[in-house]
Amino acid sequence: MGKSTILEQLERIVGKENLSTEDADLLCYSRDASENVGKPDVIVWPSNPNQISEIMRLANRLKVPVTPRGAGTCLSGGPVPAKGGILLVLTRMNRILKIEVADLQVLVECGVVWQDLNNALAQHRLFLPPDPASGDVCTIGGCVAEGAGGIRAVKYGTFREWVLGLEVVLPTGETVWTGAKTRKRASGYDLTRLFMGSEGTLGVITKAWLKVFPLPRYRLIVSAYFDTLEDAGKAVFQVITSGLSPSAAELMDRNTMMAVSKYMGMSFPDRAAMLIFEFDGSFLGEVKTRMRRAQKICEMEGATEVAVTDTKEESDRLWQARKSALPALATLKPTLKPSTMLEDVTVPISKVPEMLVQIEKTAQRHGVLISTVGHVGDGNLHPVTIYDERSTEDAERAERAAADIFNFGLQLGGTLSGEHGIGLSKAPYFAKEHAEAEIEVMRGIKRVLDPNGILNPGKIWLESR
Amino acid sequence: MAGIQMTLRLPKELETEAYRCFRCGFCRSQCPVFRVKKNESWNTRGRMILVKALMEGNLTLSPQIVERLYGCSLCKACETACPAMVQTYEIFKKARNEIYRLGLWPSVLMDTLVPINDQKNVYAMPRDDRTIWALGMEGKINPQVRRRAKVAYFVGCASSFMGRLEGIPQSMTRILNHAGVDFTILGPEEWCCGEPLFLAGAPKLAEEIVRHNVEAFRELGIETLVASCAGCYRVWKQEYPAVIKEDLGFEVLHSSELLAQLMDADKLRLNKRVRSTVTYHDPCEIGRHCGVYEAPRKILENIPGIRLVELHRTKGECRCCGGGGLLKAVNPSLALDIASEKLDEVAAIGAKIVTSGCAACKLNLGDAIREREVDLEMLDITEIVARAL
Repeated sequence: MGKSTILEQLERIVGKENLSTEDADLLCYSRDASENVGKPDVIVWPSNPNQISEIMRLANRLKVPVTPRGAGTCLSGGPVPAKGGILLVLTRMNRILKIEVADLQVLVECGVVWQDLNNALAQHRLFLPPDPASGDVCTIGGCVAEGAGGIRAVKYGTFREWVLGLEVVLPTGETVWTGAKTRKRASGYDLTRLFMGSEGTLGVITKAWLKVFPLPRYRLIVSAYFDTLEDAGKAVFQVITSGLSPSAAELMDRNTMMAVSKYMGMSFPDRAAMLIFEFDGSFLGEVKTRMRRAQKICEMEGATEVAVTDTKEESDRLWQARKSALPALATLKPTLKPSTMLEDVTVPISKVPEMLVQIEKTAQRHGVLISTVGHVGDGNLHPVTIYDERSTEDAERAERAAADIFNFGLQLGGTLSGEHGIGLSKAPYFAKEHAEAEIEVMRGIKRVLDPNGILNPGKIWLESR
Repeated sequence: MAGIQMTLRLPKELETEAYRCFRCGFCRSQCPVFRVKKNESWNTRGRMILVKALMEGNLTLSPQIVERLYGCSLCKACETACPAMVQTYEIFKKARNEIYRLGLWPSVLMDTLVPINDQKNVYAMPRDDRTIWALGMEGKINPQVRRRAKVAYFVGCASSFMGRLEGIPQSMTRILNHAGVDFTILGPEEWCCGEPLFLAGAPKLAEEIVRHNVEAFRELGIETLVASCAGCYRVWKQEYPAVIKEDLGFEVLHSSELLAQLMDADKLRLNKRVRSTVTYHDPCEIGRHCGVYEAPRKILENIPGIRLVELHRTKGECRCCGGGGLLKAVNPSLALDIASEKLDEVAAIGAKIVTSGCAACKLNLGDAIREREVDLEMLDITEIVARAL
């Protein structure tokens, strides 16, 4: 079947107005927020699982690659169509179908924007705790597929902890429901978790049942500044192991503070590191007690300044500053074509201070600019290398620094990715973390669900064999 | 595909700006066009990808690409959400300049902009008809044309010629007379402010206009120029001094700023009750572009009987109505769809009157109200003040 016939079939399934082969569209949909590039041959905007099922059957029969995409805010290349083919943009399936307040759960379509869902939940004094920095725009489907986390993951976990069940269209076109509407379940394989974090390679997630949580009545923030990253790392470790249960424990280094201060018009003391802790709960006294204890720990670990943020406006601003950190870093290097290489290395929490030291040393050794932000409370660091894309030498140095950081992370018992996924960016390193036997099990699962390898090909591991 | 292979030339500093776009996609939450189109190539991130591809000579400048680059209301909302602080407005404006230089303007713009050279207005109306709006004012409060005065009122093409907008200059005149302000207008000698040319990408064509208008007001020895149209106000404030490379020699105020000053000086008292729930929609060109947020609110707060309610997204975050950046000329149905979404925002807060300080907002939101037949009134800030006189 020729290309034109495939287009005709797709047009029949989704309608002419929901399909494009225009140059402008193909180019704009060839990127996400990572450095990866891959142009689709055709873009479709389906509006229901039946259409997706038909598309999958067609693609499977003709062995045409299909790549699912939400808002395209991915930081590892997940929604970039590495092998061309059909790009499935799921953002028009964006209805919140049910909010079941009594059971603390919601049913949403995959294209619902995180912030829209939380706005709707707030009316019932509920919230969905995992909060990616791109929450204003990213979709729930993307969050689930990538295993997204965020600032509050230190207390509430990533999306993995909040999904009860999924509706998934398989690469061969069948639609399955996984999971149950119960809090516990010991009945068969946990397929929900299999699809979660599968980066759109095993099935197209079309609906999700999510747990939600009552909004805490109080949220208090304490920030502390340190002269070394290592001191900051130690303070976080103490706060976590003291059982103070912060709902956020974030780090920004000097460069990051500099970058966000420009965007936010805020000023920070000139220190090597800033920690931001949030404590939440239903009883003010209890929250305050935990917060004061954290203040004390920071002082004992050598904090130079400790400040309490007590108004909602101030807190919102601080979180906006933190969430804008990654893109704001592009302002740091005024070269003509600044590019950033973003890592998502995650280590056991006791290893955070050591990892921070290793990142600093790596930057010095390779002569590169690395800014580190991160969810230090759960060991998830985002060292960002900022380099000039036009300079091959600069790019190679950045690449070598990244390789070193991955190696150190793995040596410390860590993982390549805490929340951004492997995608295309980290596929070359995947075999360093996973033994061949484990990867073969993954390949086996992939073969069962996607015998022709049409769904989001080229991701997670390299196809060397 | 039709189009030409070209390399987009941007000034060096803007190239750096363009490359700073990290493609984080945060602009998706802001762009009013994306909100309706739900297609990345109609979002700021997409436009930036297109601009960069044009800069690198990797993209044919086809009519579809031109459509995307003019499919933007230049509202600047994306800049507020951009942590990399990319000056998207400047980049898109310069990209339009290049498109114009290559003769690839959307053809509809020719029809709109060519008459400016001839009759000095965008509607190809005889220039002597510039004061046609004053005919409906029962003859007793005509403005004085071209005489020496401290204050001059720049009426603007849309308010001068469009019957649907005549309420704006009529109200402005009534208010100024009521407050005893000695003011003048240029009448037939008022030329289009040139805003459409600046937005279309042809700033050079506007230079003669700018010089004429500045000279005409200087001759009258004015101290203050007031504009009731947000577009006119912005070009007078930002583009004119840049073109003539010197200070204008008089201050430029938006109608809302002058009226607020008159209220402060106790020269303008509003005694008549206007019983309604009212909201204010911040026009992009006076809000995000020039930072005027407080004056219109102060006026509304001082009108007896009004219950002022704010939109959920307000001031710097106020969502564009779709009427700006020539979007209504180039893609009227898209502009209308954006306005229609805006009406939902207004309905959500229960307002019965929506006010703004911009002729384009009044036109576009007015069109959406008419099309959707909703129970809502669209008034310029001057019109609601006139009701309270």
